[in-house]
This record gives sequence, structure tokens and C-alpha cells, in this order.
Amino acid sequence: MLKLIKLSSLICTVIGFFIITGFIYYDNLILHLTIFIIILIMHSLRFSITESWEMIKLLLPFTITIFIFGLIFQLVNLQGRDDWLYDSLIKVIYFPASFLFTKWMISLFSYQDILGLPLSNELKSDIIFLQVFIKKAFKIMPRLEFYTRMHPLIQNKTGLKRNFLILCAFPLSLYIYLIDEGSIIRHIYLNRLRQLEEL
Amino acid sequence: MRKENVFHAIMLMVLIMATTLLVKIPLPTRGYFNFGDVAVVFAGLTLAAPIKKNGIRIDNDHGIWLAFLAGGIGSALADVVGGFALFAPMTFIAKALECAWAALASTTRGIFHFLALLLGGSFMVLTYFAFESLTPSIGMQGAFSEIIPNLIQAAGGFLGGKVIFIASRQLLVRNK
Repeated sequence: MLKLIKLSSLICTVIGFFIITGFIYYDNLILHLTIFIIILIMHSLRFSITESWEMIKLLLPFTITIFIFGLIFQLVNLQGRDDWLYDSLIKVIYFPASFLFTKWMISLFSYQDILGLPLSNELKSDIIFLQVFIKKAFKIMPRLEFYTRMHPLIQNKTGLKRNFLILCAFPLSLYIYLIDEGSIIRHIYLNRLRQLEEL
Repeated sequence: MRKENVFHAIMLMVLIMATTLLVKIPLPTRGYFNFGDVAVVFAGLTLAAPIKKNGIRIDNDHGIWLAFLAGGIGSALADVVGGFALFAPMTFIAKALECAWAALASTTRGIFHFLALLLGGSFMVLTYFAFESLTPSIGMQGAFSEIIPNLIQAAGGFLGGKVIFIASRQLLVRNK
């Protein structure tokens, strides 16, 4: 029950954040700037300053693009609006703030919290399977990618064709691997279930 | 709904997630450009088609619904794990629709098959455009900048997904 309350409060906080910043006080540039600074500090405390900086750097090209498009819309007077530039300036601050805020909120809810939710046993077992597969897939991924790149058929190709072949070969090899692993996992799971029922 | 089908859908969810996170090309839009659509289309085509491998038998019952969930959850999870949680809700709907259309394509032949695949890609691009233009922090400015990368992703997904599907059918039949 506690996990459900935690999840509900997190969802309410995220919705509340978007209602306040995205609708009620959307036009307030100073408020957006203040919120951005607060979120940046909170995000840095939760993760690290380096990680926050990395995220800002990652988002910078998109925020620049938003501004450039705003400038173009302003020049062509799109939809008869003359506030595109001001609107873009708000988005340049608001987008990273909303981005970091969502990431921060999601990080507060862990895998254990999901399992603690009042879900059916069947759904819980599906979530456990999902986690097992994720672990298996992420463990094998670098090796599969390496093998794919080393394949003579792929090494003979260059440029776009080579990349396309890698992109096709990787999911296929991972799929075959997961099918094989899946049959083993499922077999073990059903055996354990049968044994428990017998007990 | 057969348990084997759900199990297969979970595997494909992970496949979508892994493929989305594998290739990240930084772009001036949404942070990175990915090829998760290849796995999304492949998952849709596979889930609606009957298959048998190592005792796991998958019929096409509820294939479209499973594809909807696998495509949506797999891609949304990739967004959450990749640090792009803000996009997760819109990704869920966009990719779920793309995957469901691919599943529908799997049940049809000829021109309708390709039409359904094309519609899936178009729905993905349109969904992103609609949601992004309505999101206060992204707006029309961001939505416009996303059209071309999303079209490339949809085209790559269409081609790659189809190629992998044909290859996987041949491989699995040979391995039986």
C-alpha cells in the first residue's frame, strides 16, 4: 500500500509540475529560470554535478534547434503570431527543466517499488521475467555487437550498407539468443512452480 | 491469451529496448537518433505470425494487442533507461501504434501488407508531431525539427524490420 501511495504522489507531483509550469504560469520567464536553477541543484544533489552538466550538454543541440525554429517562425510570421521568439526563449529554459525534473522523479521509483505494488502474481512474474531478460540482453549486447562487426560478410562492406547490415544482424542475433535463453528460463520456472505445488 | 504469447512479447520488448539503446547518434533533435524502429516493426510482424521454436509455440491470437503493448512498453522503457523519461508517454503511443500496424501487416498480403507497414510509420511520425506540438516545453518549434529524423527512423524501421523478419523466419525454420 505504501508503494502505491508513493507512486500516486510521484505521479501527482509530475502532473502538478506540468500544470503549474506549462499552463498556469507558462508565460513567466523569471519563474521558469528560477525553477530551472532549483531543479538543476536538486538534480545535481540526487545524481552529480557532472551528470547534470552531461545532460545539459546532451540537450543543448535540441534547445538551440527550438530557438532556431522559433526565429524562422517569427520571420515568416507563422499563424499570424509575433511572439515566437519569446515563446522559444521560454522553451529553451523550460525544456531542460522539465526534462531533468521527469528524470529525477522517475529515479525515485525503483524496481523493488514496482514489485511492492498490489499487482496480480501473474503480472509480477511477467515483470520479473522482463527484468531477467533485460539483464541477460544487456550482458550479451557488447559481445553480440562485437561478433556482428567481426563477421567477414559485414567487414567486406563499407559505409551505409555496412551500418545497415549491422543494424539488421544485431537484433536478429539478439532475438535468437533470447528465444534460446527464454526456453531455458521458462523451463526452470515451470519446474520450480510444479515442485512448489507438490510441496 | 496464451502464456507463451505473453512470454514471447516480453522477449520482444527487451529486444526493442536493447536495439533502441544500442545505436545513439547525437542529433540536434531529441538528443539522439535511434534505430529501435527496426525492432518495433520486426516485433509487430513476428507477434502476429505463427511460429514454433524450442517448444514455445506462438499463435497469432491477440497478436495485434500484444504488439501494441510490446512496442509501446519496450520503447518507453528505453526512453526511461536512456534518461529521456519526458518522451516516454508519447513514445509509448507512437511506437505502440507502429508495432500494432506492423502486426496487422503480418496478417495481410500483397499491397495491403506494405500499406499497413507504411501507415504504421506514418502514424509514428504523426503521433510524435501531435504530442510534441502540444507539449508546452517542446511546442511547434521542436515538433517541426523532429519530422525529418522521425521519417528517416520510420523508413529504416520499415526496411530493416522487414529484412530481419524474413531472415528470422528462414533461420527458425532451418533450425527446427
